[in-house]
Amino acid sequence: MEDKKIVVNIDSDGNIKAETFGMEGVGCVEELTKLMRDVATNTSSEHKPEFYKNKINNDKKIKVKND
Amino acid sequence: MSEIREYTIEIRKVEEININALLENSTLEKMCDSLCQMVVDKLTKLSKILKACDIATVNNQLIVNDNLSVVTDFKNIAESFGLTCKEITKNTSGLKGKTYIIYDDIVDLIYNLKGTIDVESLMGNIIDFEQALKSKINNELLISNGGNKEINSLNSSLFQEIISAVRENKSIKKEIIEEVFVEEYNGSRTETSMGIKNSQHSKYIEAAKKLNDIIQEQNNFHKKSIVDGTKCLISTRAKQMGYRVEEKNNAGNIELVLVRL
Repeated sequence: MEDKKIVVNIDSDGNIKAETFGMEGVGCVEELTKLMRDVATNTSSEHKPEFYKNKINNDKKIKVKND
Repeated sequence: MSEIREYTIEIRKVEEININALLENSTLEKMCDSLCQMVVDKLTKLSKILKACDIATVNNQLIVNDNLSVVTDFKNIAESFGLTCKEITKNTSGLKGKTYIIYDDIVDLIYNLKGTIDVESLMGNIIDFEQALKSKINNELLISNGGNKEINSLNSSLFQEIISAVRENKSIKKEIIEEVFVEEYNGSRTETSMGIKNSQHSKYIEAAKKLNDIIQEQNNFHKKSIVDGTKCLISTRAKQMGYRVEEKNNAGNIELVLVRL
């Protein structure tokens, strides 16, 4: 299994960019929020496909009806 | 009978040194505003981790009392932001928990340039200052002889004269002595200038350039401090959250790789 990782880039002006790896669903957002709380201001975020993974899994039940 | 007389005379003149060609008042004002913003930026970032602490200012130094000792690695974080931080003991302050005094060189620089600065009003919208804490701090506990020698040198009469000339948009007037060689022969007189004896022009121009350099250095140092401080804040928090922190320097940018343990 892939390590849970966060890669944080700080540029020379102090701007921060963070990306999670090996995390799925809202967990990655919660982890980033905890880490960046009060450190980053004026934030914007972009969800990676992994963010939606858990939600998709929850809806994967298929019911077969035999009429 | 002809008589030749040769002698040297000294003529006192006034030399005008125009500093404004190098530094205008409007530029100096912008520099001061930018320096004030640097103080706000740093202390704002720092204040975010000080929510549980009492904060006051005494002589433009920040007093932080973490009476529950909840802030981890505070001195290291403050220093990574380019601030001087002194931890004072319970015995000397009489305050519970941990108490720190924080001093910023930039505050002295602004004071030397503007003649005034009030950190409390500068940060008033961001930090709730605890006035009661002020009276508990003895001035002897404050950081003395702190700061950068170059910034302290701006307090000298030379720099203050330059700053005041820039602010008033005036040139600096200095008395100079011009030496003139005079030759008299049969009623005719020739004068040859031998140069100015005590011009201070280059001294003032060099000092004005130095002033610019000192401000620029602080600007560069501030940029580096914001990056270092941010890095330190994130690393400290990541460790608390159970991550191993690896640091890489990526083309001048800092990359932190945080691996969940």
